[in-house]
Amino acid sequence: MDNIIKTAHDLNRGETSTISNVIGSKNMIVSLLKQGLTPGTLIEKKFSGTFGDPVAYSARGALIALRNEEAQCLQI
Amino acid sequence: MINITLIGPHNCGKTTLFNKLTSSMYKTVNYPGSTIEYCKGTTSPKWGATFNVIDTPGIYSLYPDSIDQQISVDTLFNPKNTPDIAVVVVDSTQLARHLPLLITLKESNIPIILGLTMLDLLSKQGSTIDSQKLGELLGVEVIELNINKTEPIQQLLKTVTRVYESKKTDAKIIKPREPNNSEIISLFQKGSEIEKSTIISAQNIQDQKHFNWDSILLNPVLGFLSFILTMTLIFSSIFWWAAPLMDLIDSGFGFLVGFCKESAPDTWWGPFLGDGIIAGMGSVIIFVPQIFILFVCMSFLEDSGYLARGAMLVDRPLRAIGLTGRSFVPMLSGFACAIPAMMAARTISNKKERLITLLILPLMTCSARLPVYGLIIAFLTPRDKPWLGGLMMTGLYFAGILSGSIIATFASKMKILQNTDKSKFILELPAYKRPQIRTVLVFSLQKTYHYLKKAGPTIMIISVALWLLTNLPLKEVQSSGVDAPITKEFAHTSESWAAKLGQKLEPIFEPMGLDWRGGVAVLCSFAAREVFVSSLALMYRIEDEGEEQIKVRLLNTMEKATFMKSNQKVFTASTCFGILFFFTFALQCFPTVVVCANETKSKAFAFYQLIGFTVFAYVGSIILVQGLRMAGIS
Repeated sequence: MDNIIKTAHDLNRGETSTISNVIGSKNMIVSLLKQGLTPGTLIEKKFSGTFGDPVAYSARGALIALRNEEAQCLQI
Repeated sequence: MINITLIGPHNCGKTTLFNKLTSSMYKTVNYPGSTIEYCKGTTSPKWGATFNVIDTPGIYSLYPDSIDQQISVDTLFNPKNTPDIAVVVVDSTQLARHLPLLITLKESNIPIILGLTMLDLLSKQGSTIDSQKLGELLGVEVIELNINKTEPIQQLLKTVTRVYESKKTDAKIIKPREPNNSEIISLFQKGSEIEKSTIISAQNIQDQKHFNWDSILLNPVLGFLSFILTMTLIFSSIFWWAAPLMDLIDSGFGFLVGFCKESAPDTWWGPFLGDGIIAGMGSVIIFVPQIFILFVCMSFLEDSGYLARGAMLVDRPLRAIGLTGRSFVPMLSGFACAIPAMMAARTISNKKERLITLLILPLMTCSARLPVYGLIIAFLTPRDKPWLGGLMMTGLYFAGILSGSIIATFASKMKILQNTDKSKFILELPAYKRPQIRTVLVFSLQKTYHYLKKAGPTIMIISVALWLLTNLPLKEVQSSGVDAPITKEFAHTSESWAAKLGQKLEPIFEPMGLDWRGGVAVLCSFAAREVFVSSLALMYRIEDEGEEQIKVRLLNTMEKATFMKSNQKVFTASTCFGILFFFTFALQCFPTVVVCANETKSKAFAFYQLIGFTVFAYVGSIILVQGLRMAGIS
């Protein structure tokens, strides 16, 4: 079942989707929510840098760098 | 006087507003009862009214997760010192994301004014904002802060007075309860609704057509190349741009020293003023160009928005050694001075990563090491091959980074530092902007002044004390003839008080290849590393006056220096490598130890760090020197 639910990490560069759910540890969820990465927010994968981790995402007019581990907490 | 506190998320334009209000005339002050700093100033006279203004680190919520953000919350809710007015600065292009902070803060009863920034960016995106409606929806006064004009600032200050006068005096200031997850979500929903009803977008947005620097700077290949290029540019500029200025300062002080001694040849105060005071001062001031240039580069990078990208680019490699991308800025500052660097580490929310960063920061090649490295490298390399010196200096920078990485790797595996707090890296990358030259210069001047104020007195005291110790006691000398009057003369260095003390220490320093004079200079470097150079000059009594520059004279003197008992040269290649090794690792900076104890809230941490690095440096340099000698390198 796990591979059916996609996350922001699975987006291709330039692809946009809506966050459906935020998962992970309590601490992680709060940190992501505080940044405005709430369910219903549009998120676009923008730049992946040299190592492909962290990756810069655009959401609510801001460019936010997230580690892949964190992006995997944002279900789309 | 009315106290205004500026509050808002990262990169919302808070500090730009602060600089505008105070004309960049501010100072960093300690938060009462702690060592935590914030920026405090008063409004510039050109705005008419006078207010106290406080700038705070960026926050997204009133329940922050790093120490720097805690400062902002503390300035708001300190019962003895609550702000009269909080100006919440909000980026108009990120309204929905920035409003939740303001909405929560409204419950605290602190009078609020909303300052809207980045309006030029908003209009570039083809949108406008209905700030009147925004104010009505939120129930606060809204000021459109077009920072480049004077009217909005005046309007803001007028509003501050009005809101202050009309505020309810009986309202008790309370810290709002921490919202739970669903409340956070609904805060952002409210933010989005307000954004939708106040931002008026034009029909066809052509924002995507703009050239985006990130397509190069965060590009998989070009991104890292440009990062390396930027860093190389910074570090080479510290040397190339500063070199002519440093030579000029050196010559100037060399001339002054000579002048003092020549114009008062038979007095005690001529040499005292020259060798003791002026040469001591010169040894501090000579590094001003390098430090200033480093700070200009740093604040230029920070203001442009690149520093956050740098942190993102190096997060992966730094994570491999137990650090985080957020360690990047402290480490970069560490090349100037470990003290501001340790304070910059407050932005690291994970405790373990923060401690490891604090642990290795003293290994970054700080500006106080430059003079020592510069002198020894100049001594080791032929003068017609400056590139060799440059290469060695680069090597020493890498040695600092490499040893820091190795120690970080080991420390991250240690049981004591394990904690359950999971490592995170969520960092907003600000929009690029052109740095304000005035802000950059004021910042760099302040930091440079800070350096002079910190290092200056120490170096002066040590120089004067050393001069006295190496020249006293006075001895009575009878010139030729029995009837000639007895005059008093300074002692030779070998008969001075310093010699008596120093010779007892020689056994400690001899394994490092140093005689007692070099040993005293090493001891003095524990007051501040750069003191080593001025102490060497005093201990070895520069006598070759033919050269103009102090440094060249010192090099010639070092060339001739020999052990008193054996006539063997002191400064051989192996000794010099030993000194370089010692200075790479030894924690010779007392202020750093104090700041580290404060930042970690652990005297034991700072103590073990001091002892660990210094013992390693001592033992390591002995092994290196003796090993080189066994290998046939004198």
